[in-house]
Amino acid sequence: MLALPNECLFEIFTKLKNYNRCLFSCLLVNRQWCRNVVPILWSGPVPFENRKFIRTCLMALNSEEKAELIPFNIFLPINVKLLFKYTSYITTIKILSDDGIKKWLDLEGPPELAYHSDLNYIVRDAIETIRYSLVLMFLRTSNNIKDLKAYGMFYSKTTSLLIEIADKSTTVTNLSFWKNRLGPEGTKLLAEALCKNSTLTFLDLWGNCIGPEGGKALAKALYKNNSLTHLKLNNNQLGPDGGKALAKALCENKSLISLDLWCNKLGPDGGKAFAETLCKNTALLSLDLSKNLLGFEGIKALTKALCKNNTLTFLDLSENQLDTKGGMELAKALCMNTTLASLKLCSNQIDDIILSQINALLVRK
Amino acid sequence: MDNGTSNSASENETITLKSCDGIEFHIDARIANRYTLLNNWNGGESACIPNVNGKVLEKVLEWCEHHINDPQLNCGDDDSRRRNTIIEEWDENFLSCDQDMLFEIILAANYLEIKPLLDLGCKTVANMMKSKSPEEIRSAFNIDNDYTPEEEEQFRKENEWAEDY
Repeated sequence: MLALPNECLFEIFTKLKNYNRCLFSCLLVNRQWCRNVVPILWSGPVPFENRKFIRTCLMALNSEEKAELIPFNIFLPINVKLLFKYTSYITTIKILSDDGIKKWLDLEGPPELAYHSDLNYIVRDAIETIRYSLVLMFLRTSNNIKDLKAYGMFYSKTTSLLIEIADKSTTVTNLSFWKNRLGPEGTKLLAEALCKNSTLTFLDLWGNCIGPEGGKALAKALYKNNSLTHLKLNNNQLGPDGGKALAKALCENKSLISLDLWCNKLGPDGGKAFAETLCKNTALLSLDLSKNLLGFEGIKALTKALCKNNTLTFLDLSENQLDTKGGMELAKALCMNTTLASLKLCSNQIDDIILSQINALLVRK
Repeated sequence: MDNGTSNSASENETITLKSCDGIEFHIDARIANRYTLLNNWNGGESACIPNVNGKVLEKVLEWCEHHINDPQLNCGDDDSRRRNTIIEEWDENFLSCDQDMLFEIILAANYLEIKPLLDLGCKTVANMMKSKSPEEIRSAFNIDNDYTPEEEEQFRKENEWAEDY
């Protein structure tokens, strides 16, 4: 074969990104190919749920991180070195399941920690500690992580570590944090980190029991932060107070372009507060206020605001017990508004005729 | 509509390129206008393109001519362009030459910064590697294995997660 320079090889292997099995074959061809393939293969998304992946990552732990596992009789070899600093290439990590760790414990861990369907607390503790050590290692070794997703972590140790990312990382732009029981306290820490962070652009905190206090803390951060563009706070029991605080902050914040607040019991007061936001804010393009018990009062205020606002292009008011009367108000507002291109009204009690009128008004734009 | 041909060169204008082995090509000036480096080689009588011989340059120019009316790529499409492995029929036939020529074309496209052709060549090679074992790839491209057995085994173990993912 004619020797191709590395830049051409890299270009060829880039075509095979996501064809991991093929990249794996290429990696084993020879050393030059390997050097070119590894950065592409490991840039991710990497399979945290895969036992063999976990095995390699565990080998990347340093002695302190390994020491965390000794109380569980997990003794990882000390003098074995990986052939590459693989984890330094990772750009995307999704920690969505413990399956990889469980299977590793089952096959390669100490026998007493073998995975049983009825996990006892020691096994669960071991799983959490392994995950903690791994995340610690990722943070230490990965200089390129841009996108990090974590799901369903119920322990404070790893979550606080992830908050550290928001605090210190200068590479992570997308942080998704689903169902991690952050609670108001965890959210406050995260909010403090957000005041300083200027890298993060996308934050998703779906289902973290943030509550009104957590909402207020995030609102405070939104006065200072001017890099975040997307914030998702779905299903977080923000309540009217949390909603009001956020709405007020958004009257001043100029960076956020998308806010999702599905299912937060904002109530009519929350609706009114966001109506005020829509009168003042000129950055927000997308707002999801679905399933929030906004009531007629909340909707009425929002429709008035729509007459003034001329930046919003997407609004979701589904599941808000809107009736035909509310629908008619909306239709009137849409005659005045020139920017809204999409309005979602699913699961309300609006008459079909009004709904089709609203749709016609939206199509007209 | 900007289809990439809206530049100053008119249809009848031609320029002259010379390969490293002294073969001259008179090409539509619009081709050279599309690819900066080709344009730079338009040196008239004495200038010739080092590193690219007549046989390869002929192929490269044939490709450029066929694609003269293609829309120019936007930089924003870069990632999707790089990752996609679909190839049009004409291009597929064009590149079903012998392997040495294929690699020569890739090298020339890289050297002359003709991105879409470089891309196409790389896609073709990438497709040739799909569903092949390391040994099959080595023999298909006549590559020597310079791993020690231990090293190869360790690389296999450290990366084998990729096999079932």
